[in-house]
Amino acid sequence: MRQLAGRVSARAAVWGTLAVLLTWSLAPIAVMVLTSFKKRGDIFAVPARLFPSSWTFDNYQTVLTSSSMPQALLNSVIIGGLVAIATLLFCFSAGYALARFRFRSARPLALFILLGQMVPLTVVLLPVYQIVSSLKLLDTASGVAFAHLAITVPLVTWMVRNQIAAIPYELEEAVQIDGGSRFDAVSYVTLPVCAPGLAAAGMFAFLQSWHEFLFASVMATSTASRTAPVALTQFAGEFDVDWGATMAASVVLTVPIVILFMVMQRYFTAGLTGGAVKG
Amino acid sequence: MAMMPRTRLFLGVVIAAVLTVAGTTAYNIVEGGTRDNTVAWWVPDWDYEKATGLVKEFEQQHPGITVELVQTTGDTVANRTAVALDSGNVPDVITESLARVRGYADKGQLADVHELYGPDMPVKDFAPGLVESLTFDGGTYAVPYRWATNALIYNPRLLAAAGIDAPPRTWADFEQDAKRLTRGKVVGTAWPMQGEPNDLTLRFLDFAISDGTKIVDGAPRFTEESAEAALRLIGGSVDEGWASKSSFELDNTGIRELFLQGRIAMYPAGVFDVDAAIEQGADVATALLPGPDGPGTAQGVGWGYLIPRAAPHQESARQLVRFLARPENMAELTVTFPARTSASAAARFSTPERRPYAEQLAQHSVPAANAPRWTATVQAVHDKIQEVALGRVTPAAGAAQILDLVTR
Repeated sequence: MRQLAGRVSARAAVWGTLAVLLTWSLAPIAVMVLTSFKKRGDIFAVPARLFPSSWTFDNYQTVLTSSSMPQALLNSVIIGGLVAIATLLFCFSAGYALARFRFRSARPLALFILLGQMVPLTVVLLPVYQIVSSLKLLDTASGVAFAHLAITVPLVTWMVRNQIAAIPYELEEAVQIDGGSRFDAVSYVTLPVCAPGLAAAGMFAFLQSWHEFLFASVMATSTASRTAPVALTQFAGEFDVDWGATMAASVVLTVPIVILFMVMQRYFTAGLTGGAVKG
Repeated sequence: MAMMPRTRLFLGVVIAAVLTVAGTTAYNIVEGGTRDNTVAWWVPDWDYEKATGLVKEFEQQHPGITVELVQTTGDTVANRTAVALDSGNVPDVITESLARVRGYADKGQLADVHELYGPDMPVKDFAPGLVESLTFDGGTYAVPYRWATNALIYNPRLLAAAGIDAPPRTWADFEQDAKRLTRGKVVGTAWPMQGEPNDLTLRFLDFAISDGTKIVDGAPRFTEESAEAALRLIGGSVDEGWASKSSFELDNTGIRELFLQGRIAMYPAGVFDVDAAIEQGADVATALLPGPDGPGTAQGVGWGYLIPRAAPHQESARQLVRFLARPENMAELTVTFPARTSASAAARFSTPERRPYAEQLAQHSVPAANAPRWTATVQAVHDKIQEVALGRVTPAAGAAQILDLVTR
């Protein structure tokens, strides 16, 4: 009887902890979503209310029809896509070389690449700006994408390197013994096996680009190339913050990513943990 | 050796992707090259629409010059401008906060525009001390176009209900009235302790300046008494309860919304809040900022046009700034007050609610502190005011610590 009571109370403690964690994680999202449906007076009501007293879509109308957010969302999709593709191109090549080729400085080089991840973004902002500027890519989608590569390439190279290192080299050798080239071995064995990992890496790169603010706010100087996180700031004027519109824009900015994550969650989890044991 | 189909596909995709990236880059380089004969003007979102109209007019009057307008936002303009100036890849004209001019000029990044001032644009026509505050090391580094300051906004209905027949003129009146007004759901006043740290330190510095602090070379030179008095007024009011405890969670927008709901009776703020209150039909009136024993002094803040030293089209940029600084164009681009007296003739600048602001600007204001060494301490000073409001530090100790911070 005592054992049963102990088990019940242990379970209750676990559920209680989970409930607290869930509330802790979801409360800001709930506030964001519910505020986006509130009228101005409701947002600053005293005492504060979680639910709107009357629901409105006005904030969404402002975001979708009277702001540059739709254009910015499109820009974010284009830039995120470019970043994901370019990251996979560069990082698969680099990751493959680091995993498969034995050369003297392979390990230091790999560590050096990872060093890029340790440096604060503000430190690399000016050099990256100068490179983008000298390429005449300022205020263009490809310029912002180029800057975002500085964020994604170091970590994704490591992710991909570990994915490839986890694939037995004997599989590639088998293709070559059968008369295939190294490229054939890569395209028939390595790529299909590490495809989930690459999907996760691509998604990771896309996500990094999607929510990045600092580089985008400096590289994109006009509405034509402004990304969604930067466009969010337009609802904060010199004297005024339109919280309803800001929250509605935040919802619009978050929903596509949540959907993408739900669709690709399986790959993402598998990709991030793949190669984690053997490296 | 023949290539297997999937390998061909794989290499084809890789080559196509590389060509796409290279092609996009090449296209942008070519496109960028065609923008050579245009003056680039970075303008904040809130001015963009009116700036578009002015640019059309400018281009008609100057057929050889094309202006490319680039939108910035309030939250991104400082960072973007700093990076552009540091890199040397700059637009020709930037609309920027005057508080940041000295920092850029100290690094030698701005062009001297003193020759723009003259018979068509006399220094005397600008707000008192304004052009002087932008002049240092032998040069003038900006042309201001909008100028504003804080004054006291109050709810006349609430004051009347509390038996107060005139707005406070001194700090003692302010405290006494605020205590009388703090009843039920209404609180005497509130301070913006959330959001931009500068919003709070600006008010603190206004009070300190009213009591003897001076601004020398863009930086405040505090007296311990004035800093303590200002801290007592802001921090002490929260601690004692005649300023809203929710000040810790309020920014400027929050305070205005509570004022519109009739929950805050009076507070120092800019003229934008008055316009918003009138627009919503709220009970609103304005008065000069209270001081220790009469009208207090407020700091003037504003925006102006900068021409970077590395701007590629110096002469065209100057022509554009000269055009924008004409009184009628200056008035067109401001929702507060134009920087030139001759631009303030329009009726919208002299409504009854705006008159105290005009008087505050003309007779009881000084240009805001703008030295980089002061702006670097704003966050720390803000935190110190909060500590006093929380009752963790006495106003006297807080003042001593702020003086230490500023002199360090």
